[in-house]
Amino acid sequence: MELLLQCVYAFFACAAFSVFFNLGKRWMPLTCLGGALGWFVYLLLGWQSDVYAYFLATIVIAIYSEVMARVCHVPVTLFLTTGILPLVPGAGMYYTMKYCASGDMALFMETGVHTLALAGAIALGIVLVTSLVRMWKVMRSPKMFYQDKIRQEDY
Amino acid sequence: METNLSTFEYQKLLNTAMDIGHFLLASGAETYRVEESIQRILYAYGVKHVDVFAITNNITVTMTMADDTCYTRLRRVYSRSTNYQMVEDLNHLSRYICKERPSVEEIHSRLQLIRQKKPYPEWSMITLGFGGIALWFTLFFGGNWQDAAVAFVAGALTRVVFRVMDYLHTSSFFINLVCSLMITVIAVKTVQYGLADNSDSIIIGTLMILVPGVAITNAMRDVIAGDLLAGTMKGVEALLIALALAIGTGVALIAMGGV
Repeated sequence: MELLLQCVYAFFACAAFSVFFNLGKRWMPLTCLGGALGWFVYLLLGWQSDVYAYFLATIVIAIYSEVMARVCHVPVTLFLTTGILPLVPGAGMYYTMKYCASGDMALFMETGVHTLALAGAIALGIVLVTSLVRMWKVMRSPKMFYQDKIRQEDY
Repeated sequence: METNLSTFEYQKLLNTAMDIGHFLLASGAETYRVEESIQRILYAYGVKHVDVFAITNNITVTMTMADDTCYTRLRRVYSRSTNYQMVEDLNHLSRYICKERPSVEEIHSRLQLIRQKKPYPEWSMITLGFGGIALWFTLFFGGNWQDAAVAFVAGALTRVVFRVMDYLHTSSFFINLVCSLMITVIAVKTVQYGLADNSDSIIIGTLMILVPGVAITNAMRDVIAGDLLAGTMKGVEALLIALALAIGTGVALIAMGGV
């Protein structure tokens, strides 16, 4: 129950961020759903290693964003940047800084490396999905991309 | 592709395309979207060749006409923020331009309509936006409702301080430093006076407003798309903000003996 409540908090946190980003009211529920969905996937995989769960949750959010962007005809960034926000390792960054300030070097290194690994997992998830979608786009309509290529080299 | 624009109209078209690219870049679109939009718009009107180079604060475009005359424009983008309504509208506009090829005047009037759209009013930005982010993220990071109420106030204050310092043209590094310092002081002091329980949750939750999550995501997307320079710039920007937050929070914690 406590965990489901966290998903609800993630939903509303994303809603607040979409006000900050001046996102249109039409897409707000869908973008916030992406954030809640990502956190839900992370919680489902909680028995795995933290980094692996982050990686898979990011992949789910990225796929959700790509699909929703196609469905709603809006840029992917709207969904992706908002959906990723609950996963941003703010707590890890804070504790890293705190251990550094208190001079606890062992804990500082441990937390710092873990936070970096989490950030890396997010980046890797986005890279994977975006690259695969690009490949899929080219495969679906090679002719269009061939013409684009000619245009770029037609001096 | 039939084209009956005069040279003067082509130059006006180039300026309008630059405007669209400028507003896209200033509202937080990816670099490749800016480059592609300008390129597609100009190609749609039968320009022979278009070269676009965009980084986070600069766009350069050269268009080569059928008779090999060239026109170059450079646009410096000074202030950037995140405005996804604008990105969405401009994306629709550039798709419409490529499909229908309207007159330059029509593009111009549509652009003006998009620019005149009002963002959310300031009070809702303070309460629903900044206050809301702090409130919900504090609950998210394990705070109770008392902590959330304190975080709401801290978040709303952050917006006010942010706006005032932005108005005074302070560098973003210093703004972030001061804001994180203020947030930490508020959190630690309220916990000391017994108004809230968990200073860690309040600080983490409120700092989420300033943590450069979007900058990192966009930097990654730029690097994937091959815009290494723009990606690196955004990455460095994110690192600087993170550094400012760490310094601000750390200094406050050490000064007040919260560590």
